[in-house]
Amino acid sequence: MPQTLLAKVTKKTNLAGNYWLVVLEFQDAFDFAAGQYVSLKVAEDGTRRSYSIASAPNTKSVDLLVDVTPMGLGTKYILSLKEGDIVEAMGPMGIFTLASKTPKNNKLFIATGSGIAPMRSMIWDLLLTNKYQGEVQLLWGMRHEGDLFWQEELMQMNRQYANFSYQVVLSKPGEHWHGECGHVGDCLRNGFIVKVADLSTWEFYLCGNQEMIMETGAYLAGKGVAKEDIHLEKFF
Amino acid sequence: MADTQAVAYTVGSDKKPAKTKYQVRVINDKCIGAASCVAVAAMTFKLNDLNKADIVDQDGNVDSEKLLAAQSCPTSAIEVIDVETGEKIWPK
Repeated sequence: MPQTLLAKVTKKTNLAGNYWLVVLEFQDAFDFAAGQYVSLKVAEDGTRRSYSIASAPNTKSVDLLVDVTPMGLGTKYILSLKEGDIVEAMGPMGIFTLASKTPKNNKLFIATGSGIAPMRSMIWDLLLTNKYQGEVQLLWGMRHEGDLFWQEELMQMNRQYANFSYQVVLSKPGEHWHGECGHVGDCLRNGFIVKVADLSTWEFYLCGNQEMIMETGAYLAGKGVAKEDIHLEKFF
Repeated sequence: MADTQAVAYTVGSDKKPAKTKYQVRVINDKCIGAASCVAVAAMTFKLNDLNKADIVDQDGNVDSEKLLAAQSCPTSAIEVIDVETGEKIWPK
């Protein structure tokens, strides 16, 4: 059941392009499951906006990843925040969490844009907190090189955990980009799926824009992946 | 952190209230199944098989919880109407 709590902004920094990191500190450890979000009051009339938690559970602080591209009410509120400000956060909320009923051994996280936020929380929770031994893969679609962030962290995770790998794919890369180009769906069709003989040992987590979610979800279902093994969180 | 105190209420009471004056409506096309309404007002909303919010009981939660559920919806998919005045309370 969510609570309404006050929290202090302890850090606000531009990660890259329109992506900002806001760190909130609560008085006590904030009890949430990896993948959940908080709802911030962004206007006096009670308007709220939801932001996925991008950090692992069991701390007093939570990382929020915010894409300020929309420049709506929530965006302007986030941009106006200063370190030391107090915000009203309601949470935790959301059902996009790691499967507990019949978890599969291997997990593929597919994100676009700020959809990486809940996945970072879940991946850290798996690898760091739970010492997870199954295979964990991340496929992350972005537009430009200039949008990229957390690359050093992902490389470090890749070095540190033999069961973790990731792939970044850019839809509008510059001429100096030597990585994957296209959309996450292309990567999935051309790379991942063809290498995996038995999809029944995998579960899939999709987060990002609605088109990607719909297309990828349909594609996975077409490959015989069971509905309960496809977990979705649509951003808008 | 001395200057951040917990606000003294928890949303989502379990007690069914008497008749409420706020009527809620889910705009199906806007609902993305984020389930924040269910988290805030579980006696009023539930997710259906299509992962969309359904209303199970207009009087399941008190008015303040129903309003908070609407305010928490990331896509403003819940409308709140005051049935006594006909006024649309949310979205403003």
